[in-house]
Amino acid sequence: MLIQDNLILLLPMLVPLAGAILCIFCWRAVLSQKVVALLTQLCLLASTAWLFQQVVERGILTIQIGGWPAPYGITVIADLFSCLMLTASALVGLAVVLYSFYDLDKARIRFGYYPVVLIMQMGIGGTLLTGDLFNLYVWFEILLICAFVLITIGGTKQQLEGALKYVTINLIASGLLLVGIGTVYGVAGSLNMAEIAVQARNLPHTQSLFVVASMFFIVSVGIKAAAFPLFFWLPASYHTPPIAISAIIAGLLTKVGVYVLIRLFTLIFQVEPGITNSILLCMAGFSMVIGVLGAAIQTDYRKVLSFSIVSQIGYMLMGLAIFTPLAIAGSIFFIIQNMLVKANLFLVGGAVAQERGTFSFRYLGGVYKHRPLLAGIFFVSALSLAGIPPFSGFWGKLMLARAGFESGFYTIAGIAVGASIITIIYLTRIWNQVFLKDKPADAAIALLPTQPFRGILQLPMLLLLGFILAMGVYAEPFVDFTLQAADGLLNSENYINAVLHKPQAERITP
Amino acid sequence: MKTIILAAALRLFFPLFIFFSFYILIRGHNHPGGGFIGGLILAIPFIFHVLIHGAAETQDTLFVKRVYSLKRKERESSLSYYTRNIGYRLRGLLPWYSREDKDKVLVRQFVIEPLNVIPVGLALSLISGLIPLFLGEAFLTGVWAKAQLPLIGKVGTTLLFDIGVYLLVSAVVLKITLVMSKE
Repeated sequence: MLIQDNLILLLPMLVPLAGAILCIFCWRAVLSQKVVALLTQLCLLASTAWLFQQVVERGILTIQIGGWPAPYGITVIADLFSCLMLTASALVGLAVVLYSFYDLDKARIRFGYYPVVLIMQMGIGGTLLTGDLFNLYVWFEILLICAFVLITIGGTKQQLEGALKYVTINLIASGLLLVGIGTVYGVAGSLNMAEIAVQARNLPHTQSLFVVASMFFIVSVGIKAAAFPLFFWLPASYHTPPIAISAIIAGLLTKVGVYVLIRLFTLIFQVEPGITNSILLCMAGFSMVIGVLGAAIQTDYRKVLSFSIVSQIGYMLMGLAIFTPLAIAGSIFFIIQNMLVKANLFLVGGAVAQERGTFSFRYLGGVYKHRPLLAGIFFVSALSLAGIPPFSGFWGKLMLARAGFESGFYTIAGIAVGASIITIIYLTRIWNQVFLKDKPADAAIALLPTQPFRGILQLPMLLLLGFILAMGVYAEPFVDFTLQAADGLLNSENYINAVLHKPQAERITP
Repeated sequence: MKTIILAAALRLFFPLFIFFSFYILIRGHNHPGGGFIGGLILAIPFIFHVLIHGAAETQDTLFVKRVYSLKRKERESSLSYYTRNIGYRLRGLLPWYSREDKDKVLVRQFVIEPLNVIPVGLALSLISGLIPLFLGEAFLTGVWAKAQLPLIGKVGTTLLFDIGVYLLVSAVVLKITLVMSKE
């Protein structure tokens, strides 16, 4: 049994690593790299699905790296929340890699696009599965370095400028994260998250120190998640690289930051929930408002979407701040659907720009007339993002708003509804400017290299669209899973017991 | 920076650095040392070589293995040519053998590209982690062979891991040095 457990928990990290090694072996051979990358993505998706199925069947799974027992060694742990995130990120990875086959230029692939993407996915797997605070930091660094390489790859001036902002601010964030981890270690004497959670509950006199540490985590992970006062690097850097890179970074990285916030603030920093939750509440509210307002005034497809990420992060934090089972479930649902929708919207923009050579509203138009399928994909994804009833965004927003009104957080729930309306406004603007209005006479000005449109680019978008539609129309099992995941997060005894090898109190039943 | 003294000294110290890096790699199990620092030490003489002779010449002399063959003399019988040639090719394998003959022809050259060593190192480390999995232990557990080797001592998966790190680190440092010094 042990070897099987070891394998299922490690495969989300080992499969991308093995794929990356194979890709480096065929550094110059673009075609072989593509084949290896595709096979790796398929294996990764299969392995995350296997892990998901096992966790649903058997409850929380843990292993210890190197066989060192729990508070001392590094724990790898999978619960329902991390499995949901893993599966969604594997889906986004598959779609983006499929898309990059026909969009990304050879020069960038020769500079190691596929190995870096695969190593980044390993980092995501590690962040989602680790049960050790310092290990979490190391995985974050891997994500940062990979994102840095991906943003700079190709080395245009605009990219380097974006990367400089990205790396500077994220390095500061990493430093703060390290200070926070140091504080926690000084107080609890352990880096194992379950052990720290036990200490945080058992040592009432250290509460204030835990609050101080939690501030460091809010700031540092808040920067990485691009929440309100700390988001400015994101719109400045995410629109610079090619779309196959923007899509994977935008779809995955900030959400991993939110995952870490949710994980830490449900497991460890619950000693003084009043303070931290009100701070999170403020961050959530301002993120939503500033994000949508920023998105509403931009005139570049990618910049609109970059600002829109900030506002979506607000919704995710809102669920954490309200801190009821329904709210956290809403957050989880929102994260999952947002990963898919946001990646899909970026990909649509990439397909438009591949033909037209620009992302600017000024020179775009008439896409609906020429590419009705592409316009349809955008339409459905945009409605999901905005949260129009039968589509997936609606259920997430409904759960969040309901949780807000039920537990008396009227202001934030009101802001969420208002921001939602502005979301519809800026998406309508994209629809009008890019898809509906006539192609402007001077549209021939292409800022980027153009290629003839390829219909096959729509395949990965349709794949993502299928899941987005499924999450919307057939939402019940997804909502059930998120409710169970939220339940597991709020009853952290199960998590702690699973790590510290006490008998599990109760198992999650499907 | 072409100085004769440094170049002459480097020729003497080159094997010393390599042996020392091996020593550091192997003693790493119970003492300070290991793959990372060993890999860095391995890279030092190469970096010096780049500083003294330039990246192009370093690559040409240290990363290329050329195999030469003798030219066939006029009216030479096949038998005598092949016997002469086999001796020549075998002597060519010795690293200190200098090929001053005028009538040689280049048969083949092997280029060692640091970029190709990187995945080998990564793969060795990954394999060292996977071996205990198939023996029913947790990932990355150290599994040790019963027998002891002379000089090296106990052999286990941790040594394999360290060798992987050793290759990876030295190859990455070399790649960076070569690329940077060319620009």
